[in-house]
Amino acid sequence: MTINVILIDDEPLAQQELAYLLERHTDFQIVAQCEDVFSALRKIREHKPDAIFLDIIMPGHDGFTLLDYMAPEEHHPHVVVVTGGESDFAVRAYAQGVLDYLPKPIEEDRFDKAIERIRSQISNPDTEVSPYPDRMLEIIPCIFSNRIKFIKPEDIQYVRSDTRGIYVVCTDKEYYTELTLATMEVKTELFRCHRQNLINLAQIDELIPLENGLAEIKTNSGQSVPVSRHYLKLLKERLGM
Amino acid sequence: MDFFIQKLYTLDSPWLNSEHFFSIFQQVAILFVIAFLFSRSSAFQLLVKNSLRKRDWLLLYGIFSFISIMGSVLATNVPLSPEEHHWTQVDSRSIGAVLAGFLGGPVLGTAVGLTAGIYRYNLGGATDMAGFLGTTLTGMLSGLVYLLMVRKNQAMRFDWKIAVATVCTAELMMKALVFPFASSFNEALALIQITTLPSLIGNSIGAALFVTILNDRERSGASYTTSALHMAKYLVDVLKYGFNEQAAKKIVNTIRKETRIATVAITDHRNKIMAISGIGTDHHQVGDEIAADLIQKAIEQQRVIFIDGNAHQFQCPIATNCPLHSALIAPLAVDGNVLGVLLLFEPKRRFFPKLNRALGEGVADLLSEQMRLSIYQEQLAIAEHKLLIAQINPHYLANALNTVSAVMRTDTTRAKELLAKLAFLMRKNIKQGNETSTLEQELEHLDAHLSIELTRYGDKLQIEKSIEPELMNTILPSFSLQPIVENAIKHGTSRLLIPGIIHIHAYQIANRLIRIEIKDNAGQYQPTQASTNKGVGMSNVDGRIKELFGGQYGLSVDCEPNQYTTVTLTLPFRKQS
Repeated sequence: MTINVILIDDEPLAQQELAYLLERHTDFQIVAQCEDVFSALRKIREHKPDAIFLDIIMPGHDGFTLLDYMAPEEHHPHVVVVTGGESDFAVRAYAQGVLDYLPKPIEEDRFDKAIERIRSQISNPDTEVSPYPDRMLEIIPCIFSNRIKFIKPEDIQYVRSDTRGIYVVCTDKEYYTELTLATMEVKTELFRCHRQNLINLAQIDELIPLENGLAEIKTNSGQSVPVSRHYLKLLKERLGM
Repeated sequence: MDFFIQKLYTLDSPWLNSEHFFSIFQQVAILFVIAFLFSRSSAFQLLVKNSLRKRDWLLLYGIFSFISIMGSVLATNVPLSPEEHHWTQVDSRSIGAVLAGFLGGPVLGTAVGLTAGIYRYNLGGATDMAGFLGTTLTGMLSGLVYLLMVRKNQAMRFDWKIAVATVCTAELMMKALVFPFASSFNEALALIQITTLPSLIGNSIGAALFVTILNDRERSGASYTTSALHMAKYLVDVLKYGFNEQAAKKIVNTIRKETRIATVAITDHRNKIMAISGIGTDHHQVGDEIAADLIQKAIEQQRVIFIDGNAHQFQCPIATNCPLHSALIAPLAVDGNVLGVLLLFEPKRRFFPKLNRALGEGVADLLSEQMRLSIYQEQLAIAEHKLLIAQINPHYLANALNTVSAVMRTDTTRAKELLAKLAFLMRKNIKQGNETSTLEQELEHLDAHLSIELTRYGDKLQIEKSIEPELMNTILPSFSLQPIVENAIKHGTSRLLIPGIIHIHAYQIANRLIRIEIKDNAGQYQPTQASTNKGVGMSNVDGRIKELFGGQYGLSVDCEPNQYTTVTLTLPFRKQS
């Protein structure tokens, strides 16, 4: 059986090192290599790997947050944390449902043990490994002109998805994000009002009923967001109407 | 005078009986003595305190009851007819009750009024009941006035005009009370004729004198202490961000507000006015010189110079009609270096009080001390930071070793190079101690430091340099370039999802003036945090440049969000000697 893995590290050299160490384990196959949390999210959804090797200190981001950005029902690979940072990352790593923790520079023996743990987890899942934490998000990571932009959920007007991806809409600008609507629905206070929209309840100015049991929301900044029949009922319940 | 007294004696109107006037003035004179003694006693402090204990209240009650009862004891009885109990008094009883309420509040006023009233009732006479009721009501009434004043403005408590108005109202009320208790209307009229004017005038003068004495005392004692403390507290804070024109302006305004000195000024060590406030500012303005010779003398001798305005007068070098006449000139010095001078002026007609003189000297001492403290703190911060940047960061070392170990497998030559750079950095840190380096040395140090970073990040980080070759020899504080570039990577380009580019540009902008710019393509610098603090690293570099070359040089930051951040060092072109 082939075990698919993704390597996530912002340093090309560190990726090479991991790839080199994996060469001897022929049942392991590297399906992608990523340099930041965003592309990692995308690649994990695309390839659904069995395991990831995750660096912690990465540009503008803490590698642990990657785990928070995944929706509960999404595919969750096993995680091996690899870092040159302080050893107290180890404590956090295990609390985060991480399978193993490897300090840099990686010793071969230690690496082989981690590999062995992945193999045994896959063939014989151990319930002792704690699941990913189900934490609320305090910030939504977005991409804006090649920079990482952090948006607080309370500053969002609404979220929309279209064929190009998912956009977080604020008063004056909108930002692309790799997070799914499902993730934000579960991990923030944003409320689902349409198959393609989440609304910030605190930013609703008006709820205008339309024909056919549909409705439209006017936000505080004057933007309109559609409400579908199914979600209108839930929305009204939530608003106590 | 004799003529006047004679005239008074010969007056025989029932309204203006001279004997009664003399009686009441006698009483007021004794009251005056009591007021004076009271104002000097510690009991007076109770009136300006905020919270009093039971014992304090009892003491005040005793004092004012005594004053009020004395008003009755000292009064002469005026017989209305030969009958034994048919007499009245021209007295100063209400002063005590009014003052108790006026200064101590409704409870004290009523208590004193009641006590003095009971005493008056026991004396008997035709107006015993009117006297009892009137005095009690007087205490209550002035207590109400107190409440009104406290609500509006505490300072009005010592306003003699309000005291006089209260006394007059109380006296008139007392006279009105004569009617219901007199045996006949004619008797009441006779009583009023005899007592009204003497009591109104006498009590008013008494109350006004009393309150004025207290007022003087209050202003010279309690409030002076409060304002001096207030000033001291403010001045301690104002120098927290250094001694500059803004701080000088705040200091000058505070001193003038708290002391009411006519003109207050601060000059820098070159005699230029940094801040001035008060009279004479039409021809003494910021940037001008003022009293250059006196300041020179004060600076040279490092002592306070006082021009009293009599034996010596302040000579204005600019205008002959300058109102400034007497002056106190106090140098602000730290360890023998004069950084500025504090000047206090008073005009011709105003006396320069000894208290203000002492205060001025005290303030100059306080400011000097604060300056010393802030300079020491700055030096301490710089020393601490020097130590910090000189040490190789353990994270940096761990990363470097990781990188070398990864490179070793594929490219041993490159690994060897990296180890050589690391060894160079270590050596440089061992023999640190040079205050300055040339730009060339700084760039060499930067290259060694960045070699690890460049290897780690591969093509995700680029460093570009354009340096005018003749600037390679210019000097700058050691370790000043590397922290800025490190900042640009850590807080700038490392947050980019595209390759980070850092451009270092050194050029001459004028004869003997150069700029070194460190520009990144991230634009992540946060000016909100920067307004108070440029970040420890950057403000340290700024401080060391200023320390080395002077205040006109230093570091500045320019940021276009999400486009670029440019840190610019402005330095003199100075070659290593």
